[in-house]
Amino acid sequence: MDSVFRQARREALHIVIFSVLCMIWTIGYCGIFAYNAQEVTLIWGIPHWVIFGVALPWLSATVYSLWFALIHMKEKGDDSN
Amino acid sequence: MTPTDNSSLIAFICYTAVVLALAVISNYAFKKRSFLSEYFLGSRGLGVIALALTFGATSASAGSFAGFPSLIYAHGWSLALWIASYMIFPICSMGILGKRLSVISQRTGAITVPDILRERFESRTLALLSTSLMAILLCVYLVPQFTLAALIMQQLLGSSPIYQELAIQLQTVLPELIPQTANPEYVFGLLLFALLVVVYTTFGGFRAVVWTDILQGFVMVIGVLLMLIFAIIQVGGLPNASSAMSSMQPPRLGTASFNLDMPAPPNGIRIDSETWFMLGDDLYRTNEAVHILEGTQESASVKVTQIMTPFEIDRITADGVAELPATAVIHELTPYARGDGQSGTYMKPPGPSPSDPNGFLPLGLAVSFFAFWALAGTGQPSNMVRLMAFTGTRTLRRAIASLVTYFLMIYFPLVIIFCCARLLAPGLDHTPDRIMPVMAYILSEGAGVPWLAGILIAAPFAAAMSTVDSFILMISSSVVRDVYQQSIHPCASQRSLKWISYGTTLLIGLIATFGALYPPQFLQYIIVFTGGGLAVAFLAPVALGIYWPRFNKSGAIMSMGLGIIVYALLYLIGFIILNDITPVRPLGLDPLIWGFLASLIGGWIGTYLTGSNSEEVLEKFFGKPLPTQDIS
Repeated sequence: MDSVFRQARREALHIVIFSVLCMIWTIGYCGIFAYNAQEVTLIWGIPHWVIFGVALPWLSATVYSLWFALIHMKEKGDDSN
Repeated sequence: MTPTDNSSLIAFICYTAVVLALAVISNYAFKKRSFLSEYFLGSRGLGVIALALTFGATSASAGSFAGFPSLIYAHGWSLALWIASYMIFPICSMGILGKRLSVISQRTGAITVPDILRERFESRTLALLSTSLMAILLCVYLVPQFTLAALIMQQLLGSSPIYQELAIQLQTVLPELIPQTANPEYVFGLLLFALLVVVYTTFGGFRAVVWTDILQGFVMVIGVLLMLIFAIIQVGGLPNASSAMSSMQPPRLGTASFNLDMPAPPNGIRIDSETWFMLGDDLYRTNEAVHILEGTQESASVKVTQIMTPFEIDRITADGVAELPATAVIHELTPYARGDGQSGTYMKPPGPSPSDPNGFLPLGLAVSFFAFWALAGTGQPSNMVRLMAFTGTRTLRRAIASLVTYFLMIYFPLVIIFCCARLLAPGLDHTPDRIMPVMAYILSEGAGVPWLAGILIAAPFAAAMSTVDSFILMISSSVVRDVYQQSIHPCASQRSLKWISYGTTLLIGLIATFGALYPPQFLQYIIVFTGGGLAVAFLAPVALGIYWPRFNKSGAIMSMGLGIIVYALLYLIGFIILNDITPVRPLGLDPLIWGFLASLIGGWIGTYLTGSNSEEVLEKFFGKPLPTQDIS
């Protein structure tokens, strides 16, 4: 099998696992702290559950995506493994 | 609400001129290249910015700039969770399939998704099945896009006397063209939009679409960031807006007619949409224009919204509410199924809902939507095509990095802007699809730069254009390449392919325009339905096809067929049982999830029940790289 295929498959698996983690963070946090919130406190005018359940994972996903795309992802055929 | 001068019209004309110029340049600059490859795939020459912005602009459809804002306006901060999946959208939609699709399309010479499927499974039937599915779903998808674009045009240019005059002239000259129930200004806006998009798409092809996507991508992000700044300033800071939202109660939606004591004068009586009026101590706002025709004493029934939040009533009536030239009679008022009389419902999920007692976003639906956007984005054939239009992983890597930043600058700010809209533009709850253009006017006038409305409103307009052009071209490419060239006339000349491509592109634009003459309701739901359907039909067959060597033709057909059947059935059952476009959601999960699971299972069963693939296919798709093929 060609190296690009193996690279791409590994990278795709990496992305899927990361996406599931993001989902667990966002849905888990919001499920516990947003749906059941008796009172919504604000941080800089934004509900706390949006900050910790959406904005923070969004920023983390952005940083991860930048790292993945610019550093981790290999050029075609550049398979050191 | 709208400026009385022609500044928006001038801004729109300038924008249109630039878009058409790009199409003309594209047409002339690349005449000598192979027609099909150039017209439908830009000769695989996308660079980083082009790939990122064409991907972003196509994904950010009119739904993002009209449907999504209307949902934020109607349901509040819950939409932050609804859209949260866009945090992984860029890396999923480009990273999972991008590298493989790029390599395979170069090896096989494929220029459409059905092309890839035909090569991979050596099946003309599968290519035709996928082309048919794509054409049907995309045509349905185009109708709400055209509708939203026409609404935007109506809002953008409706205040211009020239526009109003031309709309009336059109109605006079071609009365049979305009349905009796349609607003002539809407129809004129629709025809203008259709003419512009169809002309530049037909004439310029893929490269013109990508160039305009780049322009539109910049317009969108600049428009959103300007609106964010203006909105936060005009509500007195985000903490102020959110504190006010904490006290808000959902309004009541109803209808009203307007009566006169004597027959209306020669030109009739008109009361603008978004006009405030009082009935006793109750405050209402019209959500449609009222017309009492000459010689009559009563208007048709129009949508109205009753404001229920005490502080909003005090704020709006503080300067007095003007007397109307007619007396309002309220016919019905419906309280929200969830959230009526409750403060703070806009601040947390599930959010208020006029029709669903479980609220707008129950937890199961939040799970569904998180998976939905990522799966739908990855499985969109329009996105896959873009992943076939570049060469070199470096382009893909940088495009992912650009897109993830781009989406962060668009979607989260939109949530903030349209939460602020509840304060700046209250009482539009019956026609929330208009909130984007209304906010563009409010914000630009509030900032003392009314001419800027033309630029701000260009953002949703650009979003509609950039999606529509890509989809028209994709349907056209599938029909020309996969039906005509592959099945009917394999030896067709470049010249005949060119004219058939032009004709098909034009025809698809006309079909969508005709559909939008009778605008459907629930635009965002139709966009979700068709977008989901496309993902269910294509994601598993393409992903398994490029990553699983054992996956074969029977698996692909079962995967596509079973997925779309399960998906459509859940909508159909919902349609019959609930008498609504809302689907049945077993375990609270969206039909897309069930359709995708069915698609995976169908693919697995189909593959293991039948034989393996030919050595040639395995070599071409999974073996050592073969020389790149030229496209004829």
